[in-house]
Amino acid sequence: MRTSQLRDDLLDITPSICSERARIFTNAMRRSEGQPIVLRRAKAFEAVLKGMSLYVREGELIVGNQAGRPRAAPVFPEYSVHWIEKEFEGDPYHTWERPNDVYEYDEETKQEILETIAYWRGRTVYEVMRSLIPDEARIAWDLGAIDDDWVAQNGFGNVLPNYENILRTGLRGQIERAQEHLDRLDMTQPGQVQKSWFLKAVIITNQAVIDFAVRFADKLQELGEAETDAVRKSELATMARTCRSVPGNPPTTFWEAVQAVWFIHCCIQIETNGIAISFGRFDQFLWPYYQQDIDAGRLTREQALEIVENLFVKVNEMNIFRSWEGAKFFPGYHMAINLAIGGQTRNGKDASNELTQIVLDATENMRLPKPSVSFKWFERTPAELMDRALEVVQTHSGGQPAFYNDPGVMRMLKGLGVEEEDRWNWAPVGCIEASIPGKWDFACKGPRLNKAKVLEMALNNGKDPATGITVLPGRGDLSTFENIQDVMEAYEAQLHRFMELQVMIENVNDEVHKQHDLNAFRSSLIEDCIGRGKALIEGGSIYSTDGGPTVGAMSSGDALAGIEFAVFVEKWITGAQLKHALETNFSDGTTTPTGDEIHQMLLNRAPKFGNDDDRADRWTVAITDYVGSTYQTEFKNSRYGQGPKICSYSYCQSSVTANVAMGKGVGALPSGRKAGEPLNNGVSPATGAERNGATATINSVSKLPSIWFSRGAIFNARLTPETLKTREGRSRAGGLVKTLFENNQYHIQFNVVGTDTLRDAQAHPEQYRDLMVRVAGYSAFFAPLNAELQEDIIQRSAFGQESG
Amino acid sequence: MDSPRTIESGDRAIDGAVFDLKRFATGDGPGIRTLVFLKGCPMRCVWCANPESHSRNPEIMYHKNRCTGCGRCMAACPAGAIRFDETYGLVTDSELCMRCGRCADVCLAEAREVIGRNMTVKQVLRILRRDRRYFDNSGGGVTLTGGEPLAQCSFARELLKSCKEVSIHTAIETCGFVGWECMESILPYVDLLFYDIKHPDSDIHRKFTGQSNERILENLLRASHAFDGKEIIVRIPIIPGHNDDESTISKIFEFVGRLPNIIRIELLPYHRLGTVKYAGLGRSYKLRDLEPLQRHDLECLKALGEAFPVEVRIDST
Repeated sequence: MRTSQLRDDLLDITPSICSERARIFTNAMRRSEGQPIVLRRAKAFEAVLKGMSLYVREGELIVGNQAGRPRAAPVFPEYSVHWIEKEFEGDPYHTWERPNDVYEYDEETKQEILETIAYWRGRTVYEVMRSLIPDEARIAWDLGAIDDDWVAQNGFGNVLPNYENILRTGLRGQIERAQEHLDRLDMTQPGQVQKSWFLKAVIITNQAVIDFAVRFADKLQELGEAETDAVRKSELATMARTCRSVPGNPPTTFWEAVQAVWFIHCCIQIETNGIAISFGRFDQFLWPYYQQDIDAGRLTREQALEIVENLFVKVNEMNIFRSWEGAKFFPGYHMAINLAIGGQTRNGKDASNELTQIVLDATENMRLPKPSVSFKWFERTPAELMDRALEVVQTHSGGQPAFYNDPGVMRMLKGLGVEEEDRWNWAPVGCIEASIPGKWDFACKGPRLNKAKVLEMALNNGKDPATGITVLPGRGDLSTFENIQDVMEAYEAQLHRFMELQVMIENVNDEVHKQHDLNAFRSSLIEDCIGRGKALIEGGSIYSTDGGPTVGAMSSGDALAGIEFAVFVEKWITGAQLKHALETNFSDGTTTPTGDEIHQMLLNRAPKFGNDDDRADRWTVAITDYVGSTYQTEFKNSRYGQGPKICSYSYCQSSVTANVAMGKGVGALPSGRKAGEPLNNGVSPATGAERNGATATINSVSKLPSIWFSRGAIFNARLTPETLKTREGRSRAGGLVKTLFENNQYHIQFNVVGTDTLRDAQAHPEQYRDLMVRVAGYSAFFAPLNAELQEDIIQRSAFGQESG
Repeated sequence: MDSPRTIESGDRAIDGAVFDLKRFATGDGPGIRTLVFLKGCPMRCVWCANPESHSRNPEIMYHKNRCTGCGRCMAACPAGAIRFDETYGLVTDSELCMRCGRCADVCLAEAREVIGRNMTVKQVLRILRRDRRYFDNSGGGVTLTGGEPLAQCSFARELLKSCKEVSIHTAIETCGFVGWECMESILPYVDLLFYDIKHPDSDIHRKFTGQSNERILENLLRASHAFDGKEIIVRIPIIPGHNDDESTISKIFEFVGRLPNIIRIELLPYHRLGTVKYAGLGRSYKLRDLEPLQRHDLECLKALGEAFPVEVRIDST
């Protein structure tokens, strides 16, 4: 199959850096200095789309590229450049030498990028923003309690267009609408001048995207004329006609519709480098086109599958150039492009259809990391479809599709203030965050918060043990707290201060973006930016929230449980002894008990979240309840009063790998976690904490106050491949999902235990104490097996055999 | 007829020797299950993978991979039963050991574990019911295994009965070496019976398991007739050189094939995952060098089943 060929050829290509966009964009920005930012960026966007090179890969059915070559990442020097200069010098690595996320580039590319950097240095969004934040916030950022690099060094992302409406009118419809509003503006009234700038920018950018497609039409026509294979010649002619029509006009076929979606998606990712631009409910908005084509006999299911698979390949041709520091937080060229299937209709009926199945087939056949396929489950999701989705989890082996609790998310959205008419149509954006297609500004935006780092300060009278810096004076330390309630209160006080600093940083960030980074194209795809004449960050959308990913609730909860257990309940050690053990990372062998003994005690005997044990779970519940309710009820974002609804700060527990990166800066914790070790991921238990199996873990997770998890909560669960290979096994996995979701939780994704996991478990048995393998009708813990037996099991798993 | 019972019924205070409760078990019966492992077994099969289940009394299991070698256990042992062995680490002499559990108490690394504790029916139920919704959402339930669960007949019966009172699906895994009165008394509370058959020849059976097989075969015969409307799965552990020849297996198939209510036969291939447990208990494992069968050989044995009116599967999946 051609799509397999396109896929395989793509994976052979080493990612690289492309300087084209940076060069054209920078030249355009040089020419427009002094003009309003929204128009400057619109014109620069137009220049890029006019000037960048195009490619058409052998045999592909969908065209449109983000950079000059597949897997090449464009550069966006207007956001941040300091790291590019450093990494060009090999500090800490040359980009082709990194342990992961390598990029190649040639000397010419480097020189071109350095020329653009010469212009941007000192005036990037990041530098301007850093120079304007209050000292206290900068200190908190630098010591790693909060971290806004992911937002401040890049454009805003997490946008979800309403493809249903956009396909109905085409981009020409958008232009007409913007023109009408422009014509109606009463320029004698205050505030209208800015609106006119925005609306003009909408017209420029939408036209630029239409013209970009026409460039492809010309190229395809040229290729078609030279093509000798009759079948391909006819394909190229069809594709040329398509690109002359969409995305300007409404598509008339499924193929045209997918092509239109791709052009729009691609251009959003050329406009800025903000990640997590998502597709939304793919099987819903494309369904009418598919159905019409099938009914008319112009399309077969196989052709539709090929088109979807080709789109999946195109998504993986895209890339982002991240700093090495950034790649630690989002490894694997991660762009968090989400695509949703399943769920319900406006009337509460099952929404799944043949396209749902086609997306699952494409996920299975392509086995690619992007897009992130998300399956919306609700009580009327057909059992057959759920079974098929779980089967794909096993064959994909990369956690896809992930499962989302449709009614649970709707309940949360109701609590947040989303209207009933919109709730059923939600879709996840980026990693996990629920958004309403075409109505939300940024599904996730804001500095990260490291809850475990904040706990360290709370346990040390407000002082960060690593740097000696105090942001907010504390209420004592481990040697002075008299009971666990005092510890929790001290922690809440610290958390509150760091949340305030998060919000402060984001407010500065927003104002800097308003001055330097207004983007008309993406804004025009979200209601009601055109109607209000405002970009997203100015308050153009129907709904708005802020909230950066937070890390470490479970690790912090385990730490509190450890203090309660060892110091206040069992009274094994005093708070002072614990304080010393933490300061010395459990390495002082001269104390009684020794540091190592305290470590073992806390690690093995103190209760941990994830075992259905209230002695531990209640602390994680208390932390998530405090953080979630505080964000939602106490803080507003910068769009408050500007038009959008909600406008609160909100709680996100999507860490990707930030739990590892942020864990490096956190010292030893009273859970027995040593300094520098990873923190827990999302709302999953800390590594090695689970002892009682999946149902106990889900019972723990089910206690969490999910009503506050408005920006989502990632839950990773591990399953053996055998569990998902049989229908019986999949019904067990389905039982886990259903029970978790009956308890109103947000999400679950299954990582199928593969060779990599087993190898890691061999090397780090203490982190995999609950890892069970199943051989010949007999389950055993993997870690205690001897090397020979472990090897045997790994060999079986590597060949994907049924054990036995 | 029993009169209606209250939750505080006296029988639920019955103690049982339990050595493990495994939640989210996926191999012994339909759906998501909790396995209750009862301690003590009347047989001593040479291939047994659960040596900690043999004795009804508590035992000390040593996990060498967790041991930090601190020696606190040696210092704490009042009987001086723990010594250092180059290969096996800090092993316990089971002759000297008094099963007081002090070594496990002082072991912070959890390298020593007391296997087996007395639990009341109520205590077990409390844990089972925490997973009730998973049972319901996956068609699962509870499976009693061991050891030989029927060796603690009244405890097993009360536990099964209590599960049925709240409509939890029940299964039991038995070797069949029990009195018929016991088996008969628990059958009303069992939805699915896993029944092990090891060998059709009584002398060979005695040689490998320590017990003759007449009672086992007779109990299966009677249970299958007494058990209308429920399900029996016969399990045969396939042990190379012990019972893996075609004539032995055919004889079992023939016997089982004549019985009613048997939904299938499962062939459970021999494996060596229990080796580490023998070491942990300070015992030697006679079959440690025995190579497991190849998939192909199992397929051949499975194919023998085609001559009989019963489905044969390899493994439980």
